[in-house]
Amino acid sequence: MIRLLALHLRRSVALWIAPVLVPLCWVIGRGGTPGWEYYGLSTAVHVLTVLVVLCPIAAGASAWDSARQRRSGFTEYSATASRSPLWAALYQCLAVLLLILIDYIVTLAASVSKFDASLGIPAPSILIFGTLVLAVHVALGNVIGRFAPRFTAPFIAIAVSWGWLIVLVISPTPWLRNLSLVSESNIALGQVFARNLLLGQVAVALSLIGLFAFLIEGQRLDTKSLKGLFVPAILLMAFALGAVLVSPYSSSSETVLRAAPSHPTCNIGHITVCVWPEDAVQLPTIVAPIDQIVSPLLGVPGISRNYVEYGINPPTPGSQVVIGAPSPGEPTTAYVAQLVGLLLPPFPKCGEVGSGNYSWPGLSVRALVGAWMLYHAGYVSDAFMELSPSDAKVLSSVVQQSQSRQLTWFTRNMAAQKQCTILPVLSA
Amino acid sequence: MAGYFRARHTIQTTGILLVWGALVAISSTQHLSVPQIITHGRYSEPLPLLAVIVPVVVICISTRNTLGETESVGVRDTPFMRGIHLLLLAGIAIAALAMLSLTMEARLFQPAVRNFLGLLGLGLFGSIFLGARGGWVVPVVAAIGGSMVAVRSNGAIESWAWQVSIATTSGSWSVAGALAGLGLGAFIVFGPNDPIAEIVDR
Repeated sequence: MIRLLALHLRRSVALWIAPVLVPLCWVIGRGGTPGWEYYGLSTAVHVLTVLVVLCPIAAGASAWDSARQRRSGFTEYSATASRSPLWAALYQCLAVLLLILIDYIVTLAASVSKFDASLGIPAPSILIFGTLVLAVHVALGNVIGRFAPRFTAPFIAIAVSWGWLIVLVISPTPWLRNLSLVSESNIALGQVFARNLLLGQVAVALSLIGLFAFLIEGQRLDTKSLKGLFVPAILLMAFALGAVLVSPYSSSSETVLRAAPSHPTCNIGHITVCVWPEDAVQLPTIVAPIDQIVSPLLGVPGISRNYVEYGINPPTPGSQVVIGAPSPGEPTTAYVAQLVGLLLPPFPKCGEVGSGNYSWPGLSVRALVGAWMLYHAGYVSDAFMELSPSDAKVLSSVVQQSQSRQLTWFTRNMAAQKQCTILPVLSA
Repeated sequence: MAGYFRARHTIQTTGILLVWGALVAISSTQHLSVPQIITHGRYSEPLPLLAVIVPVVVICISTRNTLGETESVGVRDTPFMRGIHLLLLAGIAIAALAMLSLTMEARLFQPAVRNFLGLLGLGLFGSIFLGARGGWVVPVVAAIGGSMVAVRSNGAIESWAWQVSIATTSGSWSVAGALAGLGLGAFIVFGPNDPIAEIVDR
């Protein structure tokens, strides 16, 4: 068996393609948006983005390998073999899969090397799922190589595989979208994929591999009898079951809240900041700006003492503000501006004027209130940067007033953010 | 002349090009977007690029001589015939893509023609080395590969990506025109790299 696999590895076209893709996969693995949080699951999801490149190429290589016998005129020879064509297909597919997996592993290594690996290993279940998706496309390519015109089969396999990945993923119909088997979610710390979604996608992937195997073996099966139709019927039912399982999940609902840790990493003082254990090393970076902004305002109505990451229960009672950790490479000023936005109360329901638009008196000073917090946290130039010239003049006059008058101004305007009946004040 | 065209399945090729043009026109209102593998942005208007891949592949493959030695020992002026054959197919493909200009997305016709010419040039150039049935590899890599790496995270398009830009700038036309001219010229002179033995075996 090993010798046969070695033979297929040597003659597979993927042997030439896989090394060429290594630099590209390294670049993809090292890439990432500034909003990408590093932890086990998000790293694994990031690695899956390489599938949009690897799957079509694997399908094309597989089609090329499986069409080889027809190209070289050995079809009659192989048709008389006593061994099932599935065996040949299995070795062909396994050879392509193993070779393309090298590129997959390179992507994984590049992703892990970008950040501190001590923060957690990429989720194995997602990585195994990615391998399964790759196997589906390899099997698809093998089938196309057997039935499509022998020289154009690789192109057809690439086109079908790539089309499958990019067309379905934008479908507005959830079950159809989830059949693309590739998620584009930005998965946050505190979220995990819904279990039924993953189970459904695994069922779809396995049933597709089974259906492709049936197509390869089909010439030898008696598909006219009920007995012969039993296998495809079971496979189609598995596919349908998978499609039903994935159907409830849209792009916004495919993740669920992760179970809260029994011991979150917390900094408990005059303010409490709790984060997921994965963000423990970032805790000082998170606490410092919150402390700068909040400490002078403690006691003001609406200013909370508890700051927690999404999905974490604070150990101390009282209201809480959900915060996030700074993204890799995010400038401190951008992070602080984001924190200030979180400290402001959410838009009041009374201010809704339809289709997601808001208008209420307090809205006119919302930017000013945020800028005032930034100013007092020590980010003076950033405070003025986002303001209109007239608002900048107002802020300049407010910050020249006494501390108590400024706090009164702030308290009144914070209250105006929550209620439509409270009018904001401009001057302190 | 008719024999040369028949040996290259010109009627079937014309049929595929026209049907494909109609399909592209019908589906032009469907808005696809291609994920960017490095910047994680989106390429939001890939139709002018993706729509021309099939015509380019079909034309490249159809340049294959199916008559083998019979034609290779003939006294016809093969380069001249190659030129006429290719210009005819290119004209039919552009006419088929022109159905796009009858739809709501008529603005996509010009970039589609530019991409078709540039990618056809690449495909013909590839055929000189890889044979008529392998020439498609080069334009497919340029189109699909380019569509996945050419858009920055802020939505701007990389300066080298002539085939991705919707704006038909003189620069992008120049590159596409140069590729088309070079590919067509080289192909007319050298022809596809199809060994006679392989053609005869088929």
